[in-house]
Amino acid sequence: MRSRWAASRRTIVTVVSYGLLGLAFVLGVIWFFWPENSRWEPAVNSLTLVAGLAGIFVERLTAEAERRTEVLRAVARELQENTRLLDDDRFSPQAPNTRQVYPRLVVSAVDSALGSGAIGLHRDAELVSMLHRWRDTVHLFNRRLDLTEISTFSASASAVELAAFHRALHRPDSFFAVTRKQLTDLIPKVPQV
Amino acid sequence: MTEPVHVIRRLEKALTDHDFTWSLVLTGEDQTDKLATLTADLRGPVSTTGDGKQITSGFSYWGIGPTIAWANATSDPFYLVMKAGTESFLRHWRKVRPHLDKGGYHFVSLGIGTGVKDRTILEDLRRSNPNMFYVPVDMSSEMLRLGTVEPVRSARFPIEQVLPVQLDFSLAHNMKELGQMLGRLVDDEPLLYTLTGNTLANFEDDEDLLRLIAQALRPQDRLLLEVASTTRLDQASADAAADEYHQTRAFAEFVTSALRYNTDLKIENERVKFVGEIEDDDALLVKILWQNDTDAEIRMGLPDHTEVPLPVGDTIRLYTTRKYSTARLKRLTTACKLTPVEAIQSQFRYQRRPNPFGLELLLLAPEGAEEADHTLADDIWAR
Repeated sequence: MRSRWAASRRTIVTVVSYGLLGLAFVLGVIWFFWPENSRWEPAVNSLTLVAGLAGIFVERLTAEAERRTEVLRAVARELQENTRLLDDDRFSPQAPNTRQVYPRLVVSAVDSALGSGAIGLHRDAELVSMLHRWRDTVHLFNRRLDLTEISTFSASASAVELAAFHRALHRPDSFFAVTRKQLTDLIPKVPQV
Repeated sequence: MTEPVHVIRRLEKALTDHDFTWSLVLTGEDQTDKLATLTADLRGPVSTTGDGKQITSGFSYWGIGPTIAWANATSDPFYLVMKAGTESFLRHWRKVRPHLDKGGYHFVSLGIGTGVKDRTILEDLRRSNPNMFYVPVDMSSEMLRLGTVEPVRSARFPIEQVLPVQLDFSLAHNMKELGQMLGRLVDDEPLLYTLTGNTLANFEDDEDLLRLIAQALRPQDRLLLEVASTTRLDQASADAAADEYHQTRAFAEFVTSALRYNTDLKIENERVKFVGEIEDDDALLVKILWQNDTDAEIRMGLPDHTEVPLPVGDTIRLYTTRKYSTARLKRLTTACKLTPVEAIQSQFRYQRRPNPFGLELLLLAPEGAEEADHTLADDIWAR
């Protein structure tokens, strides 16, 4: 709803500014052929001035929209990349119980999006809140991977401990499952731009 | 009219602060049956390979003579395997202990041995459960008395929390009854069963014994299993395994003691053979045999005053032991529906040359109980 109103606002301001410029042009042509009327000049100047001011708003709104589009596209691409990482063979329940270095989830696009201010606080409030939660989850997830690697790569780690890590990772209520669900819920919330 | 007070309740009071060395033993079976079994085993068919007449596990420690012989063997400084085994147990136990720290376990020791390992386990378990019970189980009442000296008297474990049980736990009916009795004794509190000192390897059908114990385990119970292990399976290793037991006179005295005390056979140590072979391509089997390698038949008097002829070449198997490969242990635990919670293995280091032999300590849970088991991994990956 908010997104549709933002698009309509940009269209209205654009139409108004180009309309005023068009009208000023018509009046300018009339003034050229019938210069005896002294009111043409202020009319054309006023319309041009108003159209110029409206143009500033058009430019600002368009730049904002383009920046938001770029940021959301980057976030969407990053979330898709994270989905691919979670589907990696090393996270598979069928993966062998061997010690391994796990791929890490990435949040650089989300970090940039939240820091840039390109996604408006009011318009994208729900999305911003979800991205903040997702960023925290990714940091905790990656920290758990660090701890898992430290434990499994220690000299004393036995095959039983490796199996325990494999089992713990794939429990239905494990942090891995929570992370995957949060990602699945987040992806449809990012506007398609 | 007042209720009669049961003797067992009065006994607790009667034994408290008494200096006399009373020990209480719960006996689960008729000892004459055991003597009949021993006699029947010694009447087996003629065999030159140790597969006829035999002294089955448990009977090797049955009676005061074999018990003393066992005590002498374990304290023999030349019995390096025993010494290395005690030391490695301490190292292995330290790694297994964290899995049992928070459990509040009662301790059921199957085959008590010298009691040294039981003492270590008791001291650690008691810290988390001061009211725990200690239930040593053995076929030999003499072994129970001897084996409890170390963990109970020396380590000052309260005598009123000890219940020695004289029972042959290799019999299906006995193990089932023991499990049920212990269940009634402790209700839902968990039990830690232990079968240490490679005792499992002494049984002719080791898988059958492990299955009996596994069937007695409730989901909250655990089994601590210590076995001898080998990384090589060839005839040279089998011979080396047999030699390991051949090295001390005290051990030879021990393995022959059951025959010495229950028959009139005159035992000469040169007739005792140590035979190593590969069993099922996944373990080394050592059979310790007495063999009639004289030129004439020998007659052996049995406890029931009958005689058994021992023709030339006939054998009596005195002792069976094994060294397990990892594959065999996996096969055993899978077949008995046991899941390893922890497994620690180390090689013997008392020789200069590389030794394929060692000991492995496994903490096992009944299948399906792993969900309840909480590991470091679970702590890390909890939500």
